Amino acid sequence: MSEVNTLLKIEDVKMQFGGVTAVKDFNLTLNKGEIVALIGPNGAGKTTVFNMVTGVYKPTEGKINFNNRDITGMRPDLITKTGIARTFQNIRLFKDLSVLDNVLIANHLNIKSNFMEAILRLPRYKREENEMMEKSLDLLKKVGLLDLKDDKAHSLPYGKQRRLEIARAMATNPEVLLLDEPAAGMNPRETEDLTDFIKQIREEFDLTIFMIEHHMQVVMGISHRIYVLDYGVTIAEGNPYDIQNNERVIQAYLGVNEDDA
Amino acid sequence: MKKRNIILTIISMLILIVVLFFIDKNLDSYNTRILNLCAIYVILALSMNLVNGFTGLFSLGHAGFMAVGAYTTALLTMSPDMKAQNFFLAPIIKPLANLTLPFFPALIIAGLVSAFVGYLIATPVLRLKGDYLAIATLGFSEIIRVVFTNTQTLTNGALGLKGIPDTTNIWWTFGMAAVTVIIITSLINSSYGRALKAIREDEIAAESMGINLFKHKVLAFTIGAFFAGIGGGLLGNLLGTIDPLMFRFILTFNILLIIVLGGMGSITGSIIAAFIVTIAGEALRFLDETMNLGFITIQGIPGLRMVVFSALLMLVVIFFRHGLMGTKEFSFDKIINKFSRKPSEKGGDQ
Repeated sequence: MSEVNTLLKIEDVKMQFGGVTAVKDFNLTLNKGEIVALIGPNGAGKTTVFNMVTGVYKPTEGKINFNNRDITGMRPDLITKTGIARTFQNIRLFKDLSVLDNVLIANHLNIKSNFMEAILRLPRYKREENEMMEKSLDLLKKVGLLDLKDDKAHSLPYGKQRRLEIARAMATNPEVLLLDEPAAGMNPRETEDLTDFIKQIREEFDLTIFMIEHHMQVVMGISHRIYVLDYGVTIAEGNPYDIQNNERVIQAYLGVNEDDA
Repeated sequence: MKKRNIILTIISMLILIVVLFFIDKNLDSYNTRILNLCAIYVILALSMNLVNGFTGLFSLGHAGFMAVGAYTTALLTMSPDMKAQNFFLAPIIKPLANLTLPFFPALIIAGLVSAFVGYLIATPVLRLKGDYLAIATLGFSEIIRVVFTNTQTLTNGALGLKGIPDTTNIWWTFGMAAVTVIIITSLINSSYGRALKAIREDEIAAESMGINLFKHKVLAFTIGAFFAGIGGGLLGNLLGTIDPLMFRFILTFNILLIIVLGGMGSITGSIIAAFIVTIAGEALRFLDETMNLGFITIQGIPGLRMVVFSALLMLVVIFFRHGLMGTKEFSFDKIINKFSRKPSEKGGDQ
């Protein structure tokens, strides 16, 4: 594993909430261009890992490095600026705002004009606003939401809301995209669309993707490597084929009969 | 399309100016004062809506910022003689004693001082959320009032200030209201405004989209305080006398009533509601006086007007949660679309 293409490196991370250890001794490396999945039964600590990477939680122990920079415990907005964007398990769009506004807001982090320039619509702000608008429209076109740009985000059908959330994350210009259960609640048809969509944006934007997912169809279909968490502990790591045949993974998912064991 | 809207805006501005000219010349002082108050409440409502409606911070500190603005403007515009007359218990502190500025710079300084106070309060208070934020801002607003009651050499304490020059007229109030509308609208429709709305919609999502929550909340709060200070300054120089008791919670409540009635997050709603509430406040004055209903005479109950307003607020909150306008805004496009739809069916393209 060469240092050059390692984007994200999580080392011996531990997260404790009071007496409960949600994640323990977690290690992960994410190389440029990969799609890596994090799976595990409910309550295994998958979203906790995401929350630590994105700065929502500060790990109790351990280090998180991104592009050879220590981002452990940094503020979420600063982490996003370094190039990590995420979506949420339960969609968190800006519901009452338009589809276009949702994407425009994600462009705000790069703004250089201050609020006075914005109020007075000075040339630098105007130029930035035009750039943002152009970029957002372009992005919406690429993800196929351009004709819905003036609709309120909450009025979109579920699958499109997921898509918009990914588009919004893309608008922050990330190198790594964290997807928290992108296929949750989708029917097989929508799931298939989503899988294609993830592949498509990865190619188009040269992305590295780290996702949590329960749909094995999605996980096995597109990920290069898989980590399996159970009760906060990594029980397996490897390519989809290995994982599917791993004894401990099967036990964690299906349970183990005490008599047979 | 855009050019047409600019022309229409200019035309409506001109109409407003003509109307104001007419009002200035013909209306009696009582009605003029009501209109002045309307315009001042427009400024106050917009500044509060920026914080409460657009950024979603439940702040109840407006009266405090108004007090800062009103006192600053009054002290900067009063003549040295008048100040000496007012401060008979203890003389006013040196630098202010002989300082008299024209109204406009005094007003701007009032806004800046108020914004500065807002900034100082924002830093600790904006770490709180929801109800806690409301209580803390309310507390700070009361603290400002109590401090003003006790700084005898700066604010003349509980005696208040009398003989403030009555510089505020219909041009100042409506002029400043127009400027406030333009600035707040411009802010709301900018990238910064979108960031504020994002914070209102979902703080966690906004933060993970790279928005610095604290910085943007402080920004909204400080700009809100700035315009509250301007509104307070106009009010002080309209009434001619101010004292700390004026800036109690009831004043904040009035503005809150306006923005809830007009719609949290609608500039148009705030403007309309500011007029409705202010004019209704005067029109309902008969409720406070002795009423003769023919068969029974009701003794005047001071404060009955407020009961009406409180009931109205409850009705709005229960049945019309979005107020008059919700988050909708007035736009020439919508109006023209509404009127042009029918003729266009007949084949007319104009």
